[in-house]
Amino acid sequence: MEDYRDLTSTHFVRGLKYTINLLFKLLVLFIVAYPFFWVVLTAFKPYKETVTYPPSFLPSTWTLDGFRQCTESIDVLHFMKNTLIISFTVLLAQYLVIIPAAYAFARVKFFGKGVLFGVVLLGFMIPQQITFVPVYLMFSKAKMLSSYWPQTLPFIANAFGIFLLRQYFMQIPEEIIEAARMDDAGEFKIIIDIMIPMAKTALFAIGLLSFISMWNSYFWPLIMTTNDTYRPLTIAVASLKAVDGAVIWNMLMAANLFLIGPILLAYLLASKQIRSAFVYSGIK
Amino acid sequence: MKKMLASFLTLTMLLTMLCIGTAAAEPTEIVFWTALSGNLGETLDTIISDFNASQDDWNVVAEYQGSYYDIAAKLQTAVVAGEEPDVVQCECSRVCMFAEYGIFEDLTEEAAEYGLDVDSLFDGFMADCDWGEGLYALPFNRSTPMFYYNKTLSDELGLTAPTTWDELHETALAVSKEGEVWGFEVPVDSWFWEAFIVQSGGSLMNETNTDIGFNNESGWAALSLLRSMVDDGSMKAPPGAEYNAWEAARSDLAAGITTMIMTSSGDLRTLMNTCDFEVGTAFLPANEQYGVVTGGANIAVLAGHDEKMAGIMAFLNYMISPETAGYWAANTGYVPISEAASQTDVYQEFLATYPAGTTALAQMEYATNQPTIPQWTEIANEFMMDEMQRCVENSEYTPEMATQTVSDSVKNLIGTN
Repeated sequence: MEDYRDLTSTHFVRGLKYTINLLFKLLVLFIVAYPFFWVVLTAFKPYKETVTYPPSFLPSTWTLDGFRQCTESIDVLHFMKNTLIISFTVLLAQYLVIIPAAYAFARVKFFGKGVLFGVVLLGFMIPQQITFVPVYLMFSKAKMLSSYWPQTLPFIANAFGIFLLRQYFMQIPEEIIEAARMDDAGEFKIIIDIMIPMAKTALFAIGLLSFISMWNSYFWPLIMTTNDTYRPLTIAVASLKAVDGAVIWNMLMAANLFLIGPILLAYLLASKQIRSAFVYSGIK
Repeated sequence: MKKMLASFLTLTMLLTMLCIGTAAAEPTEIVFWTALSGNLGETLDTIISDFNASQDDWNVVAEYQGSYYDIAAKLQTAVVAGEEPDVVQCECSRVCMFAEYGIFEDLTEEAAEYGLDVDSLFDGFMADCDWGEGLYALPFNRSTPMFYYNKTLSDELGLTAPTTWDELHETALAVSKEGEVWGFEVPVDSWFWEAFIVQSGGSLMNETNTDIGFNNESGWAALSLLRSMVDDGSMKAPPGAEYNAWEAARSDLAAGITTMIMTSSGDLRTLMNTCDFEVGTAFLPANEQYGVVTGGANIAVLAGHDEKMAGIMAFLNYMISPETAGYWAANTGYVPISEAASQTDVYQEFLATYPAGTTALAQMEYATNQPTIPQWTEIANEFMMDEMQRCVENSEYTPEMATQTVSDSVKNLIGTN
């Protein structure tokens, strides 16, 4: 009898825990997702409806006015192209820098390693707002302002990526590398065939983080460029909010959908990859 | 991260040098940085392409650089690198600061040489372009605070636009319904406090510019009025910071949540297009007198661009000409910068469509400018804004405490403490 009572009480506690857990998750989901719903719904409302009181939840008439106005005001394709060029250049090119650098810091003994790694750490601890003036001056002297260069080069040497990947590489058992060396594998082969596959998770995480931060950057490209030729979509979207006068909410939200759509897609795709990377990485 | 940059730079420099084509030699380019986008930017583009088509020597290129704040930040960086534009749109309270730094050119001699008709421009707008130390800017997109109300509702109730603070409070009480309708709404923003101080007979700075001039009844009066109106439910303090509060005030008028608001004269078209009722305009109500402090932005020329001066002056001459200024005002809703601009056909047509626009012009008689000291942007945007908000929100925090805090901060900033 006592066993039975214990069983029901644990059963009850478990059920309660499950329910609370579920409610909490739903609450978090609601808090996170609600603004996105609001963006989507506002984008499809006629302008008048975006400023009426009390606000309506669903558009009374679904319209593409916002999208039409947005594409008339800014050349979405042009700015999207720039954003894609900048984001993907950094995403791909940074691996050429961070993988060898992280491997060297994790596995190779050389003179001045500690100091150099300290410099890398400084690199990601100093905020952009402090470094933008000297970097701007350097690019100005090199006559490279108003191009893709100042928007990509400084981020290709991704200090945070080097740091994170180094920590990851250091966890890989020395025995695996020793075994590879016994089989006459060179450093290059070790990086390509052992380190990279085993650090897939970290590589995806670094890629995703850098992609999102490049996609969203506003301040840096605004300072580094003076005209629309090389500017990303973020600046164009911000320009829709005029300095004086009313905010055309449906147009602004339509523009924001252009901006957040691809990033949501990137999240969806990458989260799958990250999960599979966890399963096959062979490291627990 | 930045350490890698140097090596990358050397590697890629050659390549980039090859990529940069040689720019066409004719006509000479004049770069104009602006904060204007959307409809305002399109109107400016029309004006500029007309100028470019009118002659063959100069080609003005307008480049959007973000908000007024962004432009100021970019300008400071660009000047250090020698990458600054030739002409820049500068929010009017910041002109003095850049002039003091030697970044803007004193145009006094050039204006005489090239026959720039600055005397025809409104004194209320010229005061922060030429404050007795030289001609550092020309008025461009200028605005003043204006009083807007739901005229349809007021007519129904037999009410008229208030002309004094007391009438404002009475009218607001008469139309307010607790928790549903507020009679009055104004963004808790230093621009309006500045106007209230002038209306109360105060001055923004003392005569020697060593301390604020409203650490007295003229500064307290407005804060007391706003506090009492918020307390008795006749005023709604709009939520949100900075320009979001302005947006809220406009939306609330359009939605019928408030009956009277104060916002920029430039919002006339927006309000007339979003409100389902007749929008009335009036002077900001008087305390001891009428008064507004002008805002908006001026055009300034960067120092040391002498080789392009002939083109720059031709462009400025074009910009302040009655035809251009009238066209600009009519298409944007900004206040015309001269009497002649307001008399142009295109602006008179605008007034025929938006008769309420005459209010802003008439109110220019009572317009004054923000103090021309380099620190004013910080004083207004930081000190006055914070203290005004704290005082309106917190009943423990008296107007006397608010102005005293502003005074202390200002004296610290200027170094007279």
